[in-house]
Amino acid sequence: MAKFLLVYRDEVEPKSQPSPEEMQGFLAMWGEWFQKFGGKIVDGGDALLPTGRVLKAGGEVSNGPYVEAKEMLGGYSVVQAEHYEEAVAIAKECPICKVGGMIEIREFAGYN
Amino acid sequence: MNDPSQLVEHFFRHQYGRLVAMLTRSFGVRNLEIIEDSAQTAMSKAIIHWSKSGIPKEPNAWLFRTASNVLVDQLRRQKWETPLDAALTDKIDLSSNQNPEQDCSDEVGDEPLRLLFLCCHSSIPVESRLAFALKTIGGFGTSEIASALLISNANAEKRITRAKEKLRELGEDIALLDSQMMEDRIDAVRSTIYLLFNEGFAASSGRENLRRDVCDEAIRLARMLIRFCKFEHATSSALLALMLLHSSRFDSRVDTQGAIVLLEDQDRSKWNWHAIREAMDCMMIATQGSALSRYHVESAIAWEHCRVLSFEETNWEKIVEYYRILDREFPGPMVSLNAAISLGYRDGPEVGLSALTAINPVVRSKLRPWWDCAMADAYRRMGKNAEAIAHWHDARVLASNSQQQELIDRRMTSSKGSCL
Repeated sequence: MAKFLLVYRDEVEPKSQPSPEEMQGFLAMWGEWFQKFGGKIVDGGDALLPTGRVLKAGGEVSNGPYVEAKEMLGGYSVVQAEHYEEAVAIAKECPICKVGGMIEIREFAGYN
Repeated sequence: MNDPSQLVEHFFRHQYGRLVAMLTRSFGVRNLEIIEDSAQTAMSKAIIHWSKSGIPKEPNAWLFRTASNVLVDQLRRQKWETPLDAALTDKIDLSSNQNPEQDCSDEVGDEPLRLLFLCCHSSIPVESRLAFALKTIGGFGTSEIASALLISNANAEKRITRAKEKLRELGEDIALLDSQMMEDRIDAVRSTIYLLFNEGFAASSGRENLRRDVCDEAIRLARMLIRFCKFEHATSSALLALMLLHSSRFDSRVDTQGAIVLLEDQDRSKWNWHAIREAMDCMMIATQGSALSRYHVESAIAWEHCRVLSFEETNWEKIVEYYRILDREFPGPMVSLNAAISLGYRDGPEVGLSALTAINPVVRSKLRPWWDCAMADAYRRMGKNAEAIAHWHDARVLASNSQQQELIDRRMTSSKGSCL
């Protein structure tokens, strides 16, 4: 079993705040995902605030998270799977995909 | 573990309103912005925690505790950055000592209703009251409000902000709302609830499920009003009865294509008889005492339409009488129009026609294109098709949106109909 990091990326400019009704929908979707892949999810992870600091080599600090293209890091989870195919299959059913987000899947090197 | 998809429908939406109102009672209207953020944050936390470990035994209490903690944290941080007044500092200390469980009973208190009374201050424009009530009390999202009220997102946002700014300016608060203020405003509260209902009920191209939710929210507020306001029960019950009677026809008032179906063409077996039954109970309460409001009379009219099995059986005698009372006690353009139409159904189209032409031009101008439709209909019933078509053409030109136009087109081609 290998461990994989699922990195969630959202659009930089999020649409307006989700309504409570939509949030109830998200909860149901996440609940389903956890139920289905419970044994595979090592760490459900967390969401990240849209604030941030970027520290560059040389000590220069800038405000705001590091933004690549149009996506911003929005959260993460850690899952275990036999191989990338299985990790991708788990990610495919993650609610992030269903609400227009993007998921980057990275295998842990296991040095630790 | 409870499955997160098992939460009751609209749980978050209703909890949002409850959280905001309860926290506003403790921390004041001037903190409304930050209170709403805290409610939102509590729900984000719920998504993460509940999806992992299931719904807690008392989800209401969980949300309230979490939102309070987030709020107190935020206020502390603010205090650190900008000095706060002593009163609020006390409150922060107070709430950290308090056992939050005390305030978390399942019982929904009267706080949301009190917030509604606050926003029904005469200096807050009616359209702002509606948007504010939906957002802050009803827990609707801005874009949901926009699509239910058929306005842009920016416009919905503007209306909500306007109400909040006014509330802050006024300096009133839930805790300061006394019975005198409530008595002064109860009429405005009722008419705001009724307007909200009508916004949702007016058949239009908006998202049908959302419009229904707006109607349900108005009904929920009326129920709260009856439950917590110990005065003018009869009139509030009449309002609830009226809305229930209308809502019983919700599903039959538009067809599968979203086009308006006139009362006389509706499939009465699709009416919600539970709602009608409850409305009857409300009408019983409404008639205790001597109060007579427009809601009393309008619900009596709605009842006349509900109680018969077909349009042909309508008791126009009674309806004419009710419109006469409305016209005398609570006059308005729509009342004049419907009074004339019902007269036409009781005494024949000629009488209806002369009643319609007797409506003075100033009032008439507020009734286009519905006055034109009623004229056309009277002519049609008299067999004067050329005149009928001419008036239908007028109506079509004066229609303010494509849905009205569509309705008029169908009336023009079909041979039956009234404008009720």
